[in-house]
Amino acid sequence: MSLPRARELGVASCSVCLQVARVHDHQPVCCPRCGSRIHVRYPHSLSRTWALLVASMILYVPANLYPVMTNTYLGADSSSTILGGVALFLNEGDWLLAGIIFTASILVPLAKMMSLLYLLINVRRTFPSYRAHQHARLYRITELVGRWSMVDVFVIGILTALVQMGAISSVEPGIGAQAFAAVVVLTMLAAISFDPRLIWDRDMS
Amino acid sequence: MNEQKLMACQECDALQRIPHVDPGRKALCRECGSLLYRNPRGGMERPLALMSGAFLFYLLANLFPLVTLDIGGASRDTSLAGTGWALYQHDMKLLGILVLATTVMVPGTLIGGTLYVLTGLYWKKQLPGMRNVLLLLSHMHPWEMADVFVISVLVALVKMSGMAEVIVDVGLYALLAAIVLGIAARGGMDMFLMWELLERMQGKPRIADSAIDAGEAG
Repeated sequence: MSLPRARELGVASCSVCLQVARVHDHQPVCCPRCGSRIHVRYPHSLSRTWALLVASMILYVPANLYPVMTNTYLGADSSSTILGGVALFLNEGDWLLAGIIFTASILVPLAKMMSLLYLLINVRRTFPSYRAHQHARLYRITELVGRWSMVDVFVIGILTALVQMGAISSVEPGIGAQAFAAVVVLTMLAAISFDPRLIWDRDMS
Repeated sequence: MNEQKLMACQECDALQRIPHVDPGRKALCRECGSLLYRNPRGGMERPLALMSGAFLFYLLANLFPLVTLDIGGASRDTSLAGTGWALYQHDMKLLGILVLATTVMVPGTLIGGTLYVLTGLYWKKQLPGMRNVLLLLSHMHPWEMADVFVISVLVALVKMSGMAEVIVDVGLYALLAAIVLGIAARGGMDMFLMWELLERMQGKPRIADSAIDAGEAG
């Protein structure tokens, strides 16, 4: 790297207000401007990210196996999982909606877990510096898209609030929705816990 | 005030001096290219005006129903808070609270809190708790999901259109307006700049950049 790195010079920037302050090893420092705790690197960044990521992967199983909602129409019940919801839209020929739900509920969570896994596995390995640029971009995208996975959860909420016409038609949320929302929250927390500066800490070849 | 700001990139930790940034321009990290600092055109005036609009529309979005569903004469509508509340009532308490938080409480706090801080900064008046409000706002951002919610309403509308008559109400238009204005306002703000203005206003002694210069080799 051509520019000096803050850590090598004994300074760090506050993650809240970006004020640069002097830091001492193994001694907690508070930001002189906003009062937040300043970390040279987030404490236990990698183990926290690992823990949250593994938890989200475990919950991803019930999120896909259990129904996210049950629709009663003229007395007949039908439960659907996340994948079932996409299939339903496809059967009705609604390609756009099938695409939105598929992207938000299946593609984004999976891609997010995969990219965090990839970053965690590779963060300690030596790479040429252009790879660090790629990893940094991957992290930025991962952090940005996570919240859009909530689409399906909100749709279930809206349907539950509106479709309550007794025996004619009614919607009940399923346990899968709760598990899926937990997956979204956990992967978001995992991405927040990951310190992107670690990408640049390794030896560059 | 020193025009050359010292900043360390949040993403790659490269320490660098930021030269004066003209209004409407931004400074990118010289190492990794991520955004360091923006100096929005028009100072605090534009975000203040836009955020006031967002605040009013957000109030309307909470007061009026979003959509009405009509099945054979029996109609039912839902409000913004009604979605999370419905989940809560249908034995999904945690999920309901999460939905209420991300669609009502966090967006509301963000709009109201930002408006509060902008008001203080614009009239250069110290309002009680400005620092704590700004701190709170910095931590809340990722959990604001009103924009995701609007897309979800549209998906739900199409999903229901087959079995019933759906009517889009005032609340949804108001919510959409609040989100668009909120995004526009945020585009004209910079958190680093807001902290700097607040600090200058409160006149708090701060560690001089020169104290760090001594250790800066390159």
